[in-house]
Amino acid sequence: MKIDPLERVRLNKRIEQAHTCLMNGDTDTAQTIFQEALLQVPGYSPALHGMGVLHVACGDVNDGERWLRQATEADAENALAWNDLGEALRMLGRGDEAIAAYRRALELEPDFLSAINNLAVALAGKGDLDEAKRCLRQAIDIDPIDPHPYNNLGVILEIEGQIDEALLCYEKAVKNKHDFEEAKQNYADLLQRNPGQLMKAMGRLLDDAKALD
Amino acid sequence: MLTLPGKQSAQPSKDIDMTPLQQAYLNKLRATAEANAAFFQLNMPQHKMLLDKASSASVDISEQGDLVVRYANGESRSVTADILEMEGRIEKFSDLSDRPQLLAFHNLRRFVESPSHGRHQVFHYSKLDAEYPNRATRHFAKHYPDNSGLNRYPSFGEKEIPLLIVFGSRLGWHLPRLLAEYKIRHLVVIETDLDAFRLSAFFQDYVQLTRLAQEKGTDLIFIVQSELDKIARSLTGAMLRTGGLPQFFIHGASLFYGVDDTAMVAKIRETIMETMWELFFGMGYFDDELVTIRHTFGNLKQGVPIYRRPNTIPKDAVAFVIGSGPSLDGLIPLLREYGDRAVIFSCGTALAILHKMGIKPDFHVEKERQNIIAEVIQKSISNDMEFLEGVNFIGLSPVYPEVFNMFERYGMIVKAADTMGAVLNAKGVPRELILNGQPTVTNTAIDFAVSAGFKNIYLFGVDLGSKDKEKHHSKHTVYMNLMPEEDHLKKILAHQPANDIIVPGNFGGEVHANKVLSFARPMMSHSISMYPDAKVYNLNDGALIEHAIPLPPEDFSQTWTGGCDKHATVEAVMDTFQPEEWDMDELQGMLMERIDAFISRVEAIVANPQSSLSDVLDKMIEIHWMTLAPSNINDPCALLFRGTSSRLLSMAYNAVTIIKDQDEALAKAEWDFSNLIDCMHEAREEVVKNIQVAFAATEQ
Repeated sequence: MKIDPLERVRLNKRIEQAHTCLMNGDTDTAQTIFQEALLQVPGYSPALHGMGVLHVACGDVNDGERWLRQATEADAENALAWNDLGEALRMLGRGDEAIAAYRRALELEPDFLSAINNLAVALAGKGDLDEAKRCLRQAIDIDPIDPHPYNNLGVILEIEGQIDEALLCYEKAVKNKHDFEEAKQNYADLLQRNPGQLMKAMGRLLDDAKALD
Repeated sequence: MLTLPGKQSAQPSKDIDMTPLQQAYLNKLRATAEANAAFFQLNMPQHKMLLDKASSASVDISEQGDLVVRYANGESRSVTADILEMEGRIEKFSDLSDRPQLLAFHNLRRFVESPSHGRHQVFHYSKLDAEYPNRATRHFAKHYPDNSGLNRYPSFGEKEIPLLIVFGSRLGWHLPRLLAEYKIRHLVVIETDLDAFRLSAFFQDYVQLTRLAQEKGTDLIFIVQSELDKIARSLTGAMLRTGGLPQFFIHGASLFYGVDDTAMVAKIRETIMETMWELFFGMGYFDDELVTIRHTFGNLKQGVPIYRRPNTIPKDAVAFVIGSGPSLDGLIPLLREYGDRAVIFSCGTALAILHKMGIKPDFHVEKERQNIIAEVIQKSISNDMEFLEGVNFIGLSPVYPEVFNMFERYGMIVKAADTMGAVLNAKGVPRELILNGQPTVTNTAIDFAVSAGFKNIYLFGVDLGSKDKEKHHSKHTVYMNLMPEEDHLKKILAHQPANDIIVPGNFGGEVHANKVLSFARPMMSHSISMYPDAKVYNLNDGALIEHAIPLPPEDFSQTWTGGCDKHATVEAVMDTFQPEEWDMDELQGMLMERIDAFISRVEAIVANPQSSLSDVLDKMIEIHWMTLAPSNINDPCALLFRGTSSRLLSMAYNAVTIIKDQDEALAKAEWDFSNLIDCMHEAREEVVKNIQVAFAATEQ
């Protein structure tokens, strides 16, 4: 679809507003904007994608998946739509299709962190822990500050019984995001289950504190 | 206080009792001036010469080192006050909304529903130069029906300035400040007061200033010139030289006033605005170049002999070049008396006058490419086709093939600065045989005559200006006589830039010329100067043509050497043209290959990522220089596309620099680049189509 770039910029700005509305819970306004965009440019992929996200957010994952699929059909290079389609498919329990969708998103944008992370989670869900770990390490290489891959890697390492490494990952996640409740909980739970690790963990904390001096 | 000479070579007078501080400070000022002089000598010798002369201003140095400049007009100014004043001006300059700019914009909302070249369309075989700019204006008007979302004047962001013109070097404090603070691509410093420039050399370290400019990627140009005309020319030259800016960047050029906005500065600004057309002049455009492609292919296909044998005319040969200037009327008797012992070249509309006077030329010369020329010739001789019998024809390569066919014998001169001229040059026609022949047909005839080897050339009716402001042509010319029916040519000529330019007269005094004639004059002078052994006599009471010899008609006989054998000379002229067989498929293949490569290069430039207005400007400059860099100046595609691409880029530049929202500006640039590429692809199709038409026409 060839769209006037100026029209595209203006539409995208409106669609961005709609996503903000969606995050703030104003689904009605978001829906109105997405629909207006579709009236203006029928089959406009970012608007179809918005409708998909809206439906998933409202709990209608089946319809959401259909909208998101349409978004990827309208623009096969819309990486965001592929990633969110993967999410919808994963929520619907269609793990293999979800993995394919994430992989497509990553073909388009190899450094797309959310898609790497989501792919890792889907792979772990299927039991392919090695590939999941590889993905998460790739995510950490791309953005060492992002706490989520550390947390997810921690979970996998914990499952594999690599307690030391898992604790280190949780610590990293929490260090990078102090209010990352899920990582904090994972860390606390793991320490509780493995009190022998407590002294080592304390030692690392003290080292960090000294380094701060 | 001590008054010390501001002269760079002067030594302090021994009877002046200076303190060590004063002496040291004086030495410092002198050292700066000497370093500047050495630097200018090395890099800008024309400015070094200016520094050789002593400044008439002087400097007082107090015992505490306070500096006061005393100017020749009696004014004085503390250097500290000067620094503070410049700071104030720099602060004022930082206010984008109040920054003065030069404006030279398109009407970006003026579009027409069915674009064409209007009445001129009949001369064109395509209308891309009407259609694509129209698409751009229609697109702009659709998205910006009013001024909301737009800045009033071009804006490049707070710190980016593509072109900054600084009026006044003053003591130079402002220059490093501006350079350091802004991202300036081209900084032009204009100083009309040579004395002020000399003085600045004591205070401003131009060596480090230039280093700083290099470090910042700024092209720093000094125009130190008291003559206003030369200032504007130098600015034009600075923009058009390699690595300069596209001419349309003059729109939105920021102005910094190092001096007050006096009448002189206003005059400079006005002169720049007045001469700005020169920046846009002579670029050509695709629809016009397509005519040359079609006609030249037609001429080659029908086997028109090409000018190939320069400097082969007998030494005693005499040429009379006949233009249709107002002096021709008074020179007719001379022409009648001596015409049988010279070769007469009738130029363009002069044919009508010669016909009226019953004087048959030996050659008729045409340069215009419009297909109506055949009709114009016919009508200018009142359909008396017998008059053309025995007249030979010389046309530039773009001339309509049917015009050649009106004459029994003909020859073609490959035109320079022309798409097909460049193609033929690439296919082996030597550069020296490709003649400029512009901008008037008398230029064509003179270029040919000197190149062919005529050593005695007399100019009749080649006035290039007139004492009477309104009178540029003989009263017998076809321009003046109302032509019946379709008077297309007159309309074209009516579009010539018409302002009144005063130039020196051939027999003293001044004459009035329009822009085309004032341009024709230096071109003719240049051509003549290339052949110093040729004597070109200017018999006309028109403009002085340098390197031509002013010859009052009454003195004609003093230069007359007896003339030449007309018949032998005419044959020698005809012999300079050689029939050739061209592989037309190969020629077409070469042209198409080049066009494809050119479009691919533009596409590659456009495909580069753009995340800022600066990226967009870079692309514009790169595309622009593909068509105008000296290395590409003779490239067929550069000639084919330069005018059209320049116009579309210029419109894009106008639009993107006034759109407030950066994302929208980038999107508009994306659309405009795409419009340019679409235009080039359609142009390619037009070239293919028109070459086929040319072939088909000659086969009929």
